[in-house]
Amino acid sequence: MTPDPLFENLVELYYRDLYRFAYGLVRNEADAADLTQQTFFIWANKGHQLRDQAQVKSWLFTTLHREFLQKHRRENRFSHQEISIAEDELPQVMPDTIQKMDARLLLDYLGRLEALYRGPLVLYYLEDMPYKEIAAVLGVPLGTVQSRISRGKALLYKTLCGPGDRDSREVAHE
Amino acid sequence: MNRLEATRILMSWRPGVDDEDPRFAEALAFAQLDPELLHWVEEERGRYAAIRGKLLEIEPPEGLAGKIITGRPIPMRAAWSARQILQLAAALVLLAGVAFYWLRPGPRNDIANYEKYLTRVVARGYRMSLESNDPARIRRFLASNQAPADYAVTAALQRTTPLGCATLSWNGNPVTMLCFRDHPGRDVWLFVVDREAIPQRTPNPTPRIEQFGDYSAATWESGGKTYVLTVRGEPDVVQSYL
Repeated sequence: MTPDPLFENLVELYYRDLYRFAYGLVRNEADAADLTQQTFFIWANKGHQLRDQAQVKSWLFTTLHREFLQKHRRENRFSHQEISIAEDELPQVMPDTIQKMDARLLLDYLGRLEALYRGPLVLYYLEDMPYKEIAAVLGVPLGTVQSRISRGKALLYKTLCGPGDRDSREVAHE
Repeated sequence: MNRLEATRILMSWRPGVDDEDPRFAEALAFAQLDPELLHWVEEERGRYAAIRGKLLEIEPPEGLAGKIITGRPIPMRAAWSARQILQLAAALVLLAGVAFYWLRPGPRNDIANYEKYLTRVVARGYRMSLESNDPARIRRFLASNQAPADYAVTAALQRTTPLGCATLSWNGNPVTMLCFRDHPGRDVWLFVVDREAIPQRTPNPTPRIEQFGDYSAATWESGGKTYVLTVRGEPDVVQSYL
């Protein structure tokens, strides 16, 4: 196959970020790699339709997320549950606890959250995207993204604390 | 703004990313006046950095980039622009139309259809390939154009004036069309084709006369040829030229 320097450069620039986003969504290595590859496959066929090349990164993330939703429609359709934690009762996991944790274990905890929180949280932590851009990638309103990130973080902290670790909370509220 | 509101807002704050958002700026300003909240903000910043750092440790599997690059499909745009695809589609439609035209089943190859076809030719108008009153010249022209030229003209037709000839085709077989004028307003046409060109027929050396609308036609076989004599008028008119 004829080398395509532009395509190769694009892969080098974004495949790690896309893979991490995919991993956060699908929670396993093989599916994350497939999703990443599929995203670049779609780019190779349709990327030329993107008029504003400054939007390449958003386009790739949006495409990956859309592919994830299509493949996991059933999971996403039936997984939504009301969050049971109030944001003013945040379990406060200590930064040291996180730093001592294995990265895969952290992802495992993240993976226990529902998909509608995982996507926004991974973008929140990994990508320096403004909230508007995250909303565009996920195809949801800005307010929804903000609320999912807040609630997702609360759930993640709760998961990280685990049962019986709630004594370490330092809740900041009146 | 109170502490709870500021906490909720700052829960989503990312140091260095969201600093320009006035919502966060206001909440941060509020936190500067509340040491306990400020302490929580500092801890939250630490948690954010710790989680981000851990997630960034995740590395794709070895060789994924290479797999993506080698698995790249040939981009459509390199070879086919949207305009070219449209042109190809138009060409395919045209090709399909031409193929349909050429491959469509022809009329049933029997004598009745042949007679109708000849009647349509004279009724709709035609253009003679050669205009000449010279029977020999007409015959030479037909022979040179691979049309039946060894025909026999009836005695009655020999008394009329030859006008010329044309060559037609019936299921790929050449057909000779001879035009005669008996008197002003009455033209007579004699069609000649090899007998084998019309397999579905009843061999009949005696002329059989049929009427097709305003035209009458007499059909017979002779010398390995099938003749059709057509004239505008009733069957008795065509009978007079046999």
